[in-house]
Amino acid sequence: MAEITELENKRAAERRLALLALTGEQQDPGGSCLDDDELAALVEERLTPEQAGLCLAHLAACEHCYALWRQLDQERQHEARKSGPRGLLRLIGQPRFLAATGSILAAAASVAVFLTLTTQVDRTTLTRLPEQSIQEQPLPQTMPEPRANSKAAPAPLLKDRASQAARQTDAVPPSPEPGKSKERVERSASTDHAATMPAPPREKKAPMARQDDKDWPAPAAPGALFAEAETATDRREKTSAAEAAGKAEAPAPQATATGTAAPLTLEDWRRSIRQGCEGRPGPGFFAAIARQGRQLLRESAAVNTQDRRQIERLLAVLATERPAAHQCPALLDILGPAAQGQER
Amino acid sequence: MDPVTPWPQQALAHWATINRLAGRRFPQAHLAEEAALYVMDGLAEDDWRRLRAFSGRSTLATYIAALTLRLLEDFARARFGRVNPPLWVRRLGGIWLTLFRLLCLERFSPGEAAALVGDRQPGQLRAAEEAAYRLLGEIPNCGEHRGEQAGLDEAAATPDTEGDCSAQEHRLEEEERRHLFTILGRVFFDGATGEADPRLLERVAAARVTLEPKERLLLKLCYRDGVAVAEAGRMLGWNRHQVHGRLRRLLDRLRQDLAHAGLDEELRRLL
Repeated sequence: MAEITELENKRAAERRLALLALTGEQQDPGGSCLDDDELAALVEERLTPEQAGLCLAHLAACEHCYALWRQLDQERQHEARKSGPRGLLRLIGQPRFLAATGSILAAAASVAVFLTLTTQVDRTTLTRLPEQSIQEQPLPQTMPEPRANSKAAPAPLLKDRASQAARQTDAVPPSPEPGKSKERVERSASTDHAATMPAPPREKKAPMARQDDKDWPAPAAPGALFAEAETATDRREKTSAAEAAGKAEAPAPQATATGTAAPLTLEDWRRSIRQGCEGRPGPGFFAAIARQGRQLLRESAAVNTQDRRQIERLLAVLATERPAAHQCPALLDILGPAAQGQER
Repeated sequence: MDPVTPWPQQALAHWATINRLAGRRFPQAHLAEEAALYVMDGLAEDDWRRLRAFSGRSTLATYIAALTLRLLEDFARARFGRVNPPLWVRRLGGIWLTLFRLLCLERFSPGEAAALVGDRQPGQLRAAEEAAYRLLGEIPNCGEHRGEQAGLDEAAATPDTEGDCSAQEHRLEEEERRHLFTILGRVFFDGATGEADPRLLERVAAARVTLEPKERLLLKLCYRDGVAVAEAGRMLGWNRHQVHGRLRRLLDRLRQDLAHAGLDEELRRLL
């Protein structure tokens, strides 16, 4: 309250001082009064600074022209307010409005840059965290064995992970569906690195996976012991043996090139061995027989202990490196004449 | 300016503006209508001489508004006559001159005159009312000379411009000056600090204080007519920052000038 009173007193003192100065100094208007043209141009600010100065000097001394000037200025302000958009345009054209607009735009740009930087930092953080966690955490034990054609992985990181998995899975059983699991791994990897890595060419990868499936044995029951013992070396041997066998050099009645044999019984297998050994079997025949034997072993519930041992012995003979002419007698010897007679 | 359209049509196109200005100047409807017709006649005089003098430095609307305001003042003089206001009213100027004309020539009541001034100058209604009653108090015979034409115009009536003065005129002038500062003391201090000594006020007013034309206009607009500082700056071609700075420096300079004139004590007592 005291401050308000003090302010009012200060203003009143300033007003008295100004009025004293005005009453103390009286000027002679000098010259003729402003004509209407000058007055209108002065109000519209269309005079040069020199002309405006002369007009204002007269207005300072002539009360009559001063009164007209004030009334005309009020009339012009009234028209400007009434015109609306034109007045708005005039306001926009004023330097102070432009300065204020520039300041507002600069502030908005600053805020936008700040928000953009903040968002980018957050994205970077969100992107890097999963990478670090993936690199640091150990690979799961069920990681499928990577294939040789995993070099087609789109990024070095994926290659490293694949080679690391290959090293680890030498003693680890492959997944029952390695092609699919490989796809899954690649898909998860591409998902993890979606922000930093390009999407892998799926149209190329899918055929590769299908081609891989051809090299793998027929699907078996999950957790089969023999499937666990199979290694990449074995598969390469089988593949090369099958390719070497060529165009069905041996009968190999139930062993197909695709490896997707029909459900096999022990008796059928024995019969096929005997039938094959009656002719001149090639390496492809023995590879197919060995594959079928391993398949029978996987179906442990279907064979008894004695049959299992027989199968294992047959597989051991097949695994040995000996000429084909010596293989059949050894196999027929294990099968036995009685069984042979029964079969026939 | 449209060079094709004849002047009568262009003048009629601004008839609404003429009518509005006449209505603002003369609140009575019949008087306003009469004044508007007077303006139209004035424009059409000598084959639209006033409009033909338009040079194109401004818009035609503003030019016609300026012509209208001047012709309305001519109509008021012709209608109500001319009386030279007292010196102290001329010194004060502004709303004092307007109120003197409204009260003493056009015979409005103090309330009506104050309302008219408040309408022309927003925010000045209360000051106008006080000034109107003080005018009537200081000029008891206000309005007696209504309708009479004064023999002297305003410029010739200014005592400063008279070259040779007789002793009697000098005495009258001295009396008027004393009366001037007596009334100014009442007007300026108006019971706040009691009436100021006229001789003290005269000494302060006689000090050599020089004002540039723009500075004088700034003081008139801000402290006499109650115009906002920023608005006064716009009228004088300054932005709001410039005008506030100039006003502050001007007031400081006035205090310093009065102090240099040896009026420290008087200034402290007056302000």
